[in-house]
Amino acid sequence: MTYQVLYRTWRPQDFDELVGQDAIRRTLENALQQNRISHAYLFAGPRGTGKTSMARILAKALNCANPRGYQPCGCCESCLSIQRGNSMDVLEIDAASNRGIEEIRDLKEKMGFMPVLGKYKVYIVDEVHMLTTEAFNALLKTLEEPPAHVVFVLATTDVQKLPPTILSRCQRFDFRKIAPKVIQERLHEIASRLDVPVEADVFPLIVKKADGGMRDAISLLDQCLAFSPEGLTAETAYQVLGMLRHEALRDVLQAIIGHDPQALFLQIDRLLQEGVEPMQLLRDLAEYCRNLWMLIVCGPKTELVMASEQERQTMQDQGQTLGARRLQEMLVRLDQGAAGAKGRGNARFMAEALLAGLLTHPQAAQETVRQAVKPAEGPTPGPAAARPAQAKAEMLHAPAEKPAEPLIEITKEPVKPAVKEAPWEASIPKEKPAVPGKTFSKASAAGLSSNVWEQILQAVKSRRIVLHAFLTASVEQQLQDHRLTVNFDPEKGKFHKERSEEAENKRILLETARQILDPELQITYGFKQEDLDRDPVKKALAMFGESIVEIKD
Amino acid sequence: MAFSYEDAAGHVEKGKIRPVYLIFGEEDYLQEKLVEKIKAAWLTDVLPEFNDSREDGAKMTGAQAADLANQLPFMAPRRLVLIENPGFIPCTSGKPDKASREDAESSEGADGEEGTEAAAEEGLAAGKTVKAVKGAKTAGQEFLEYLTAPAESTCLILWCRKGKPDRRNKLVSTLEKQGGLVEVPALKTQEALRELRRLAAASGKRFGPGALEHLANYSRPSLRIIAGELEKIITYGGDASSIDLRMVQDVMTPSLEADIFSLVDALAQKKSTQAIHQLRSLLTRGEPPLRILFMMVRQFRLIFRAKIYLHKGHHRKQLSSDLDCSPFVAEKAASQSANFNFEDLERIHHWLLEKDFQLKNGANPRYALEELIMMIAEM
Repeated sequence: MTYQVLYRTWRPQDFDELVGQDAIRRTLENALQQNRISHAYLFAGPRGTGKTSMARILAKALNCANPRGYQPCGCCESCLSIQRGNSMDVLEIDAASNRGIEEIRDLKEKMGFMPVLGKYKVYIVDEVHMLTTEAFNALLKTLEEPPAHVVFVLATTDVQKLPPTILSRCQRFDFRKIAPKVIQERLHEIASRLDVPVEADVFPLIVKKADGGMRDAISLLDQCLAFSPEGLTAETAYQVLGMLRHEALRDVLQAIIGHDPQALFLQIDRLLQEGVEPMQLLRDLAEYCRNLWMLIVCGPKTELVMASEQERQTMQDQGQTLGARRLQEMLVRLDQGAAGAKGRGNARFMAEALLAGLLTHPQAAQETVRQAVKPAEGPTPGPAAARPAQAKAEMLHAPAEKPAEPLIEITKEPVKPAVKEAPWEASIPKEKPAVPGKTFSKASAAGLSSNVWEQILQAVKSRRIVLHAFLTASVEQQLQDHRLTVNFDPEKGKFHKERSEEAENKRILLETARQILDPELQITYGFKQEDLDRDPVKKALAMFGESIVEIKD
Repeated sequence: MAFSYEDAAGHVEKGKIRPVYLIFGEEDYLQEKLVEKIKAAWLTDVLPEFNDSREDGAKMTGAQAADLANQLPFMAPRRLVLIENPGFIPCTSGKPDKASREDAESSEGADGEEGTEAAAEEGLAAGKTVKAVKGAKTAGQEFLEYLTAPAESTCLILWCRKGKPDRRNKLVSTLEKQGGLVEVPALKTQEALRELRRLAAASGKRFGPGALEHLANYSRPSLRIIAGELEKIITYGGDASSIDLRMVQDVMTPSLEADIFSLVDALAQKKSTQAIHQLRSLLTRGEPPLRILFMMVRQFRLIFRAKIYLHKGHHRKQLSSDLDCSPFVAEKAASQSANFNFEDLERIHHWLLEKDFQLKNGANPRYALEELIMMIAEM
């Protein structure tokens, strides 16, 4: 006999065997029992959740000559012919390949004939969403008034594509993804009945990969068994399923956390040697980061992450070290990188570049600047170090003191990340600060470093995106003796200046800038040219040229 | 005066069946029920194969309809003819506006019959969509004759499934005078609830606490669909005499809007796990990510507006009209608004905008939406 794939040999043949869809099963059993058969059913749900199987079981139960209660007997002529797929009463139509109006007309014509063996003629229309609009309309007429001996079962993975007129004529059942535990039990059962030794660790892998689809799970098992028919170890399963081991991902991330380029590249190299696709590495790492994030946000026990107890522990630790915000950023970058690298020539370079990029995080660089800048800013070194914290504390209490502005409450946003990110901030070596602290102390003459301004803009953006837009229109920023001057173009920037000057906007910028630069900061808005007259240093610069900077130095 | 569904159904149940019906209105499901009722009452002891005919009337003239109705029943005392969308009855598509009706009435008063026709033509000239088959006037004449002397053995049902019959038309007004006009407009919430209770009672069930409200509010807003869901729930319940909330939640297919409610509810209560589960079930169901985002935007805008109105001192009861939505939705927005302050809402709006941009620029929808949810839940 030729080999039949596992998921076909193990296709459930009665309600008992179809696992994981209890509510639907109960409803259909009751319908059979109480004879409340609807003339049209719609089975919707992701693939491999039992739609077609359920439809066939229903067809058998409806037509069975001697049902056991409401279960089909599975041995009468009707049941057998349905199982063989040559029943006259049960017609399975693949709507994906018979999607035209002609096919539906044909179906309608034959519908008048009475069933041969059983009580009902059952039409199972699979992938019904593929029908054309005309075909749907033709079908609709039939669904409105079908002959008493006809039952329709429409099955689809994409219920959104069905017209509402069809939806409203059917009794709809939503098949859910099957719970991991249920799939695992079924796989276990199959493996033990096949009498093949399978390592216990294999099942969770398959279940994870199958993502709630029973058919996927069984055919993955089939695939693994084909690879090593005598027995299955986790090692082979990883290989066949093309999955990255948890340990591998853990090590890659650990290298990033530890800021260890060498370990990172070695690890990448090792994985690629093993035959892992670079893009898959990125995708899996993104998934891993997401899991870390879920773990620290939703708590270590969350069922959103599939992992063993031990894995959870390491993931939890790594997640804590990185902090939610950094994880989130890494996730976005990995995701974008994986999407952007699609179809590019050398995937390996892309992957390596992207992962190396995670080592030197832009946010990290900015944080370094921030660290470097703060102490240098204050006039007296002693109290200055304490000042930022003090300023933050003040801000936290601000709303209580300002009842006039009830809309604005605690400005958590800029404070939170600084606290959370402390661990990794510290782990970043200060060997290459983008802007040396000096720039600032002598900023009296020079313009504000673009990096710092960018940082202020980003912070503003998270609080009020409109203000961010206005501020980006400014052409020049200067910092001098606790005064930040934001200058706009005298011709084009008038509107932007006016809007930025509005009390609320001004306050937001002030608060943000104070937090980043200097707690005693004041802000002035101006136009670029006017400043030449007002600002003595600028004036001097204009008169004597830039050499003055060098003299000061 | 057109009869309501209730009156017409009541008459039918008492055995008073009119020779000609013209059924129209927005509530398709109840119209279908009424047709079924008439059929059941009229076609007793009749071979339905020969004496129950259903025709598409789009291309039919009044004369043809009259001919059809005048045919004698076959081996039975009575027969029933159902004509869907009769083309010889002029219908306005969409809701008829009051002005034109008043207009018509006034001219009717002045010129009698001719005035009506003139008004109908005016309607045409004014660009109103009045559909009528060519030569409707003469065809109407023949059908009018049938109306004055309908066949005794036939019950004729004209079923306008699209649009509203034009009452200025002679045929329609005659039918109205004869009492054959049945209008089934869209149901108001209370009426719909009553109808559902009746449906449940027909199967010998009653609703447990909260079950009916959950069914009506969380299902997709169409009586046909809700009735279908109810049938499913009753079947699920089996022998149980009451339908309780648990059963409804187990098997009902909720509307997208309802799912977004629960998602935002979960967010408001900082239950990120639950919110993410909700999101996933939406995504697995195949809802397009942008639609999910749009629905979230809609919900947060409703909350924002509700909060503003409440802040201004409007009463909760007033919100439904302020926000132009159903009382249930308004109530939901009001209670959810308590969980967010203005600052939060403003920030959420920015995030929503940002995610919209990301989704439209090729971000992985699952990550992007999950991220959004975490950001809001963690706020």
